Amino acid sequence: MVDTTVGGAQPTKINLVKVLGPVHVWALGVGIVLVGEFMGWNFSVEKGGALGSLIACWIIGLLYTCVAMLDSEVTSTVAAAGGQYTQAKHTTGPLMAFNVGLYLVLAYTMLEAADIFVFGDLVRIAAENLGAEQGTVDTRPFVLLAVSVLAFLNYRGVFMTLTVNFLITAVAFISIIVLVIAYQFGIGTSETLQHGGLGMGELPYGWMGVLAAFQFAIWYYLGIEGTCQAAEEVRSCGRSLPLGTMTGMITLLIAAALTWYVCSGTLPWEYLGTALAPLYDASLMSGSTFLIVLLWVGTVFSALASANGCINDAARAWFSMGRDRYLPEYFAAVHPVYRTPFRAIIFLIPIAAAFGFLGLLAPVVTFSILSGLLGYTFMPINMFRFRAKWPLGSIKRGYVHPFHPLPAITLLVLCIATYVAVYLGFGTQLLAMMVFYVVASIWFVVFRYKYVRRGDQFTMAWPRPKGY
Amino acid sequence: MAQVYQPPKQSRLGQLIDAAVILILVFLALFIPLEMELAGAEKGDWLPGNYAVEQTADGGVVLKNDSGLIKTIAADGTVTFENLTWEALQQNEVMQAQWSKLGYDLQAAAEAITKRYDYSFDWLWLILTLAAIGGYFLFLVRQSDKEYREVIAEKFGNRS
Amino acid sequence: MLDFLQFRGPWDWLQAAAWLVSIALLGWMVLDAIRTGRKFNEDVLASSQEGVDELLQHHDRVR
Repeated sequence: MVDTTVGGAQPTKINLVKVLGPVHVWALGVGIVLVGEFMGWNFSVEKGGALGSLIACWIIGLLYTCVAMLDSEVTSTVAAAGGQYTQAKHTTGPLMAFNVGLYLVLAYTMLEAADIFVFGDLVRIAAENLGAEQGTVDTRPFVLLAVSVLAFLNYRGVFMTLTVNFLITAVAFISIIVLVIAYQFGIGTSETLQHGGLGMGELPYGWMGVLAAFQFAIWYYLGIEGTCQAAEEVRSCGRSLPLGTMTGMITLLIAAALTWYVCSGTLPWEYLGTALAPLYDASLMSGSTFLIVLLWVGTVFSALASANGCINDAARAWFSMGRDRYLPEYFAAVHPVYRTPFRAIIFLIPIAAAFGFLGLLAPVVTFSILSGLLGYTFMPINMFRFRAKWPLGSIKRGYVHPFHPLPAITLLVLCIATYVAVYLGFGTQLLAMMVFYVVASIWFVVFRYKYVRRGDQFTMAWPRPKGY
Repeated sequence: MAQVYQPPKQSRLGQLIDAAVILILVFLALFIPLEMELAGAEKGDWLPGNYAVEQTADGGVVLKNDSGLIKTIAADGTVTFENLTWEALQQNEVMQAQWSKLGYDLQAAAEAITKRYDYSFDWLWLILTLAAIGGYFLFLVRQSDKEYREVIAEKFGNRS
Repeated sequence: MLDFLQFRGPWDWLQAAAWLVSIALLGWMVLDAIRTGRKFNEDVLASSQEGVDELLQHHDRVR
């Protein structure tokens, strides 16, 4: 399907290149998310206490298990770079697809901004520990360095990008395991985990706090659904994507449990809830230089892996929307040598860098979480429509999720609960976000949809949907 | 066979304007809540056990709990404690040890501990917010379905 | 005014290096994007197709 040049002549068709395996899918999914264990999840401790955070972690884990199941089924049949955006286009229609595309781009770009901001801050912390004067280290050059190096990697090819992501994600994951083992068996540290002593059995805010903690418990897993964005570049997509996504989800459930276990056993919850880098703080409490350096490296790598994956995913979504003229067609270009959506990659750099410079961590994170949440709310709608239009057996599915419609209903209920949690903490921002998406939708209907070719949007070789 | 819709070709300038529109919308959505200083919930002052809140004459606030701990927030924001002990903060020995390892003395720990969220909320606003989200999705699905029928008709031809 | 030119230690050098490397990489990407845009026809660059997968190769591709 890929037409390449022979003897220097100009190619006539350029497609993204199919080079990725399940390992890369895992690296993309887990790479984006793992930073959530190094920073951000602990705000849920502030909302509901340590035990509240753990309960929220499990319940939101269930939400994401549903997300992974639903997503894997649809994606294993829709092999396109747009992921959920392309799914929405085929099951629900253009306006929904436009909104889903925006959720994707904004969730990932804002997450990327938070990642590079944290990276800059970690460099500052290291510099001050190594003797630089307090307040003299400017984080901005490092924020920009992170985003430009990662964008450069992305620009030069997806295979190298995700291979690097695999390596740094693996190191970050191992650093969590080493920290837990060190504490559990007293290797290299005389400190022990003291869950009982730190008052772990209590819910300081009662069950309301558990509900409020849902908002930031999302952070344990936010971005795992990004694996779909690689669909167009994965070899045997129908098998690799569900495999990579499900193993990624299992990795995250393990990492989340271990992270909670070691952090809540070392830090008082009132401190843990507001810490910038809780796992790094847990390593500081051990007094072991090796663990401190290891967890600093783990935190830095996780932030970079996440930003890297986000650049990849946001650019794919932006590119796909350009390809359908939902956005200017200028962005639909694929680089003839590197086979990447190069213009989309470049275009999104200044946005991420601008928000990384501003350093408004909480609103940026909330923007990202809400965009993600809106995307999850779409998934049950997506699944019901998909099963109704193309019942089992009418098209070839790479993976069929069990117990339909139970996972879809569970997902919808948990999404509503999470909206309530966001309302408790960030009610105004929730409404501002809704206004943004409504205005963007009206803009799309009135000014933008006229440039879209109607029939060409439907690209899957599926039969006519039932009932249309 | 349905008539095939031919979209107009968009100029480079038009493309640039459209990309800018989305960018401006994103920045507005982030900055308007910030400018209104309404982005996130702030924690309020709190004390362990049962406590009473009083306003002072000079615009400050005093919190007193039933074990005698007093937290005073002056009008300029300075926080002072009276009868402050680890016991009054309900911190056991393990907690005390961890706080001091983190570099927090009693006063600093007290400031971190005596702040909590207030989760009381207005049912009406909650229901309105949820209804707004529901309405938004309903609008999306309905409008999309209209456009979707066009897409299917053009792709597969009209139903015979 | 030209404070930023007075280096106070290794961290200042590192910051300057970070600025330079970032600008070099960003500059290269922008230049390469412009060059590519000139060298190749827009229709070729935007010719990628969605949904090209081996799952579908048994079907006749409908356009």
